[in-house]
Amino acid sequence: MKKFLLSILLIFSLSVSGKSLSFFSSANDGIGYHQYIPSVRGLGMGSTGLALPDSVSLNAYNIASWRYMNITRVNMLMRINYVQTDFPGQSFNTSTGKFSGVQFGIPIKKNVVGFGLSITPYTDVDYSFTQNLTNELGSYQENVFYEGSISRAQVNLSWSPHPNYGFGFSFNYYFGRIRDRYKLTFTSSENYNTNYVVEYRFKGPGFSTSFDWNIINKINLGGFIDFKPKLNFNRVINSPLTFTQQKTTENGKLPIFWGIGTSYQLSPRIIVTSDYANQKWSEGLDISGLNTQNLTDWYKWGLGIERSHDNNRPKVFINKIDLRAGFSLGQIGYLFNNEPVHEYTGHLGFGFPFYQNRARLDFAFIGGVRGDKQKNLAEEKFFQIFISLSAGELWFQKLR
Amino acid sequence: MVKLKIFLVLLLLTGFIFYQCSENPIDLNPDLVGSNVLGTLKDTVLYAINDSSYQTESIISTQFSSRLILGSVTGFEARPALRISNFFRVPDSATILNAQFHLVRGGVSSKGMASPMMVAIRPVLNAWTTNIDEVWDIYQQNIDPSASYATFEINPEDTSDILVELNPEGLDKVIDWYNLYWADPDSISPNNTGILLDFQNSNFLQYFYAINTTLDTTSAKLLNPGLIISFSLPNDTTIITDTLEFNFDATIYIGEIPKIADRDYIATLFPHSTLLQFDLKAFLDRLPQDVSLNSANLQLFIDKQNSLIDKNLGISHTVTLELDKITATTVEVDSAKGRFLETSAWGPDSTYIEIKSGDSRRRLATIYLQSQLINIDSTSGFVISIIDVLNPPPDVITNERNYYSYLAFYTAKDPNPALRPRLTIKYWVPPPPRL
Repeated sequence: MKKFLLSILLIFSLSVSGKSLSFFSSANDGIGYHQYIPSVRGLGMGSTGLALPDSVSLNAYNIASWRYMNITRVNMLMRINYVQTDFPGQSFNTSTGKFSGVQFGIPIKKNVVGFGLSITPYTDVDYSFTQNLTNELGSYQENVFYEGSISRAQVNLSWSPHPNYGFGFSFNYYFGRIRDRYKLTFTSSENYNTNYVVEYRFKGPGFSTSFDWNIINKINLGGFIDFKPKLNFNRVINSPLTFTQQKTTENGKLPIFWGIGTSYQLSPRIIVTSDYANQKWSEGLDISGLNTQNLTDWYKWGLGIERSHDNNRPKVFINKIDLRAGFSLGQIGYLFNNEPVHEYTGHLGFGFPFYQNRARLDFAFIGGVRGDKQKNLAEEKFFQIFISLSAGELWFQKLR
Repeated sequence: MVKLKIFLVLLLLTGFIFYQCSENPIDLNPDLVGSNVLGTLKDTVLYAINDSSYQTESIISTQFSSRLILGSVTGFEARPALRISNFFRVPDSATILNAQFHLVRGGVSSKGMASPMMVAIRPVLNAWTTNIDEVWDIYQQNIDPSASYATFEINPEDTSDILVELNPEGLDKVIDWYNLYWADPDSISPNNTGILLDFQNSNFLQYFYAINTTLDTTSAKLLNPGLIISFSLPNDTTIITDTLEFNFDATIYIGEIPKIADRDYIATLFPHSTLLQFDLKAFLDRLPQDVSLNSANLQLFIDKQNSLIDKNLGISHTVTLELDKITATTVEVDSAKGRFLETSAWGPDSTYIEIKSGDSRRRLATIYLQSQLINIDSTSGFVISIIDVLNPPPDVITNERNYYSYLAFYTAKDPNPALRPRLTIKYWVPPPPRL
């Protein structure tokens, strides 16, 4: 176990050295690449998991499924992202590491009422490029950095009035900032090298609800809906001319975000899932002056399967772990070259239960293609590793 | 064991991924960058809307000058005065036999063809320390025009040292100074009044190295003015020769710069400054607030016919901020802030001066202009003037005390717009916000 934890720490420490997430996170009028990480277990199964009963890890969207937790739980996620970006006549590789969320849940009344907190990445922007420019006024290099993220913090309550179904309620608080940084470096000392920053700040409350329903013995249905949060949007520019800060404030809303999923227990150790999530990004942020012409609807559809570990102390290693696979397709919510950008992803996952199944280390390996070099002028081949540690300890309960 | 293998596989995989990564930011193909993603580098040319010039001082002290000036040009006359008071190196028992006056030339300046001038070394009547002493108010009253210790001709083409033997009257005067010294070596006698180099007709300026000049580091030659004394000691027929350095010097100058209408001036010795005002408020109003100033250049076109430009000696001037409104009756120059910009760069065709390329143009934009734009309501303009340059090398005369020069600038109202003073501002306009 110590070696596993050591490997996670090592990967965490390495992950900060990389940069750049996705070219498609830099869309004009956009707030970055939309993150959708229900759970690392679900990511291994084609980005599903809304209707996946799980007493070990906590789902980031379907809070109603927290009704399965019977001890205090904490869930930490991170990811490593490797992207090969191809433009016509140009190609490069980048990578980044990100902390990807945390959930903390306490069963107030075992399998009936649960309470918890969570932070989930909502969007992410991390892209930079440079241009060497020359005109009659001089030669200079312009470096452009788009960086930042928006996150969603939640106070969650799950309630299961009946063993077959439950509900989840969350108070959400959205927060984050995106910085567009421009750095000009001139070849001649007669020019002042400019640094210019525009910062977009978001904050605001929202509400979401979810459900989990065991329709019949082998079939589950789950879903969530994030109602339109009211956003306070600030655009902050530190004028390099007058050294004054120009701050404009607007009110806006994020479109409704919803998802629904189902799972079917094929056999005691095999379960198949399918989820669909959608957000009408084409509606925009409802902020006056912002265009929606670069926006289109975001969606993700996934299909997955899991062969779970054998609880009867198997001797063969493959039976000691959970094996997962899946496929997903989606649309990232932005138009590039006036065309929607699609994403096709293959998923593999592994779960390593330990501490008598009270904890689990989950890995998801995701690879796919985003965009199209002809249609979108850019194509990204990406490979991501997601890691989550789901822990639950009796001493948590003893503390209470 | 299995877990250890998994750990190692993860480690290798992670290392492989990061090995594959390239550095950021990526040099993106320009075709892939949208036109509104990058900012734009622009420039704007502003022409002066108001201008003026004024004299800041009637006369300045040449006490610490490293050059002496002799001659006349365009209404300006200059005559060096010298005093020697230290005869320590000539023993009190010595007999002075001969004295030669020695000067080292430091360049020539003229408006046209220069012709030789005759110079007379005349006695000064009253003791003095600097050229701004009261005794020089009317210099003719402080010399004896009927007396001469030596006369010599200065040819502007000649660059050799001046070495002139004093006549018996001059030698007697040197012996008087020698006796005054040994009568009281600890003080300078008021009767030791020195000499003045006088002339009647001149059409050029001859520069000599002054007592503040240091050794020529390349040849170790003493450049200071001096007296070469030959003397003998009692009961010894050996004639000893030694060079004594003058202890006081000054350039006694009179006149004024010859001004014509519709020109602005800057000058040395009769310090003039030129005021320029540009409509920065209108410029600011036209700009988006978040532009970044990158560089600026100020160009002033010169009426060379009405200027005295000493290209050999060079010219330096500065741009400083003006405290008062340009229309104020009492103009103060914010020279105390030491915001000096070198503007000694000549335009490619020598018809204008401009801010030296490099740091100065950047500073003009980011220090001068930016501060004026921030305080736009109290902005009044620029003051252009010739100022001292600190620690000039011995061969470069850039101190306003060291040479005589004046520049006549075309004004903001000149009929030819191409000759009007102009300010070119280069700035970067950022792209519109993405959100």
